Amino acid sequence: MKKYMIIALAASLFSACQSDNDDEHGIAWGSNDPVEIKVSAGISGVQTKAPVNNGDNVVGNFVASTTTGDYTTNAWTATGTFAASGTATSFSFSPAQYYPVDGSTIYIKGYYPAGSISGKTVTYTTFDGTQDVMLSNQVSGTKATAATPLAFTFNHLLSQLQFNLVAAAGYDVSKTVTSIVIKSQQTAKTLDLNTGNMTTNTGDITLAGSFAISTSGTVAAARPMVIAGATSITVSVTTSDGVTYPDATINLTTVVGKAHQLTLTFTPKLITVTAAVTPWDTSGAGGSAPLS
Amino acid sequence: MKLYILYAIGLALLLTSCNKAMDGELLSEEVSIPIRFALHADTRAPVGSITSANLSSVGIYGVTEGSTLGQFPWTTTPFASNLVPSAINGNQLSFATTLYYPPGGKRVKFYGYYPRTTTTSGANYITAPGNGTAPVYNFTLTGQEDIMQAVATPSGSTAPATVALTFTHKLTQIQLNVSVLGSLLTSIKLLAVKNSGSMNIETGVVTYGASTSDMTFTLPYLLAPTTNPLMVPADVTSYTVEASLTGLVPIKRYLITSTTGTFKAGVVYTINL
Repeated sequence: MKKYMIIALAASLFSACQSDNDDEHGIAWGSNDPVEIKVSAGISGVQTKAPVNNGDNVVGNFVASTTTGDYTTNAWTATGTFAASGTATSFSFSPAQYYPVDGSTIYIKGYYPAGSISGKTVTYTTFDGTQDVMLSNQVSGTKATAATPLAFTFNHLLSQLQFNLVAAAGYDVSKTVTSIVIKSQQTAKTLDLNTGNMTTNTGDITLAGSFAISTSGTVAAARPMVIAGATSITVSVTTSDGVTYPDATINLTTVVGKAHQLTLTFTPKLITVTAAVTPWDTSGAGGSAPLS
Repeated sequence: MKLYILYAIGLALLLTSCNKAMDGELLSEEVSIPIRFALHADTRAPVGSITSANLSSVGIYGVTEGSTLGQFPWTTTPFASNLVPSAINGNQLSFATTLYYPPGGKRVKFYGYYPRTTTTSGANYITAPGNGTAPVYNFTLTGQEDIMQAVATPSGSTAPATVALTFTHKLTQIQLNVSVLGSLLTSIKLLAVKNSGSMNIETGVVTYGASTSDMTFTLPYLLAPTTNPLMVPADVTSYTVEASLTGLVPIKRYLITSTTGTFKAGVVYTINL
């Protein structure tokens, strides 16, 4: 990066919190009646993982199978809305789901966001970095164990990028960043519910807005989610004065479930001015002639 | 013969008076006076260098590169507009507000002119830059002004380089060897010198108006053979010198010319009468 903007990788700071959610909630049910499946869910590390923030209502998607670890054939699908929290909160499936009346085990996984599901594969069509792809643990139960709610913990499958915008001495802080284009980023295209593996879509992610630049650093509100494992990030930044800083590359390795804060420091170059005077040329020669 | 004697006596008295002044009470004032004097003198005398004494007479403009690479279009609000340096260290200028290159690699082309003014009318004034129009320095000559202009190589944040403003003189300098006239000389001047003009800050091109005036040389000091110089428009093929002599000696006029055809800017001509 030959431009004057100096990019510094601050650190990969935020580890995914591993708060298992073991809350239990008693339920009442009759032995010969269909028994509704009661569930709770929480999100691992939700407090640091925009765009799903603590307190947000998350519409989780759930798929059931009669075979453990294999969701090729869906017994049923449902959604469930719960408040994002590191602590599990209770919710209900919509439509309501029931344990098999024959006493067999049902296996359930949750995923987010919805996408379109076909068998074990969830397909996404939005690749702008706003999708915080998560997959839950598999839970299972039977009619006999229905007293214990099934507890899902959603884990982030992507890595988050944060941009800390710093104005170095001499930089006009009235300017803002209007665009950050993250080059050739991989976002989730499909999610395999059995393995958690993803196929990816590669493209630029554009964060548009008005992001403040300050001497102490201001983290841009837009925090894209990308496939982890990248060894470098290349960004093109445009500021409100119309200046674009092309292709600044930061070396880092993105990690699943972690937020990486990248500090972009805007450092103007000092202008040095010197002054000199061309010496008078004293070699001028001429003549004179009297005028009558 | 009497005239020679009287002139010699007068000259001796003058010399004595000057020596007393230099050796006497005025000496103590030289600590403070020369600063003002130098500032004044340097802005109205041939300039050999930019120093703290004449720094306030340096005006600087800067123009940012436009959307077309290599073009630096003037606007009403250029990158730097008639800046004056606040200090000089060696030949490096500093400013009250530190200058930084514009972000994104846009280059800046700097211009300098001398002597700086902030007035917008009168005998010496500067016009404001416009969209596509460089400022113009308008001046009136008395023979003591050294009009200069400088253009620096553009530079920007991607390849920052020292902005070197090398000022070039726009006038020619003429001094006369009047030893042939001896002590009879009472005054000597150039006749009908164009005395008003304007200089484009971007191009450095000087254009003169039609008005003229006679410009008087300072007589040689003591027994020196040459007058002090006058700075007058360059690219002129000849000037007329008029010498007034004491007594009944009639005025003498001379046509002075350059061996190179015209009097060149930045060149000092010492012409023997």
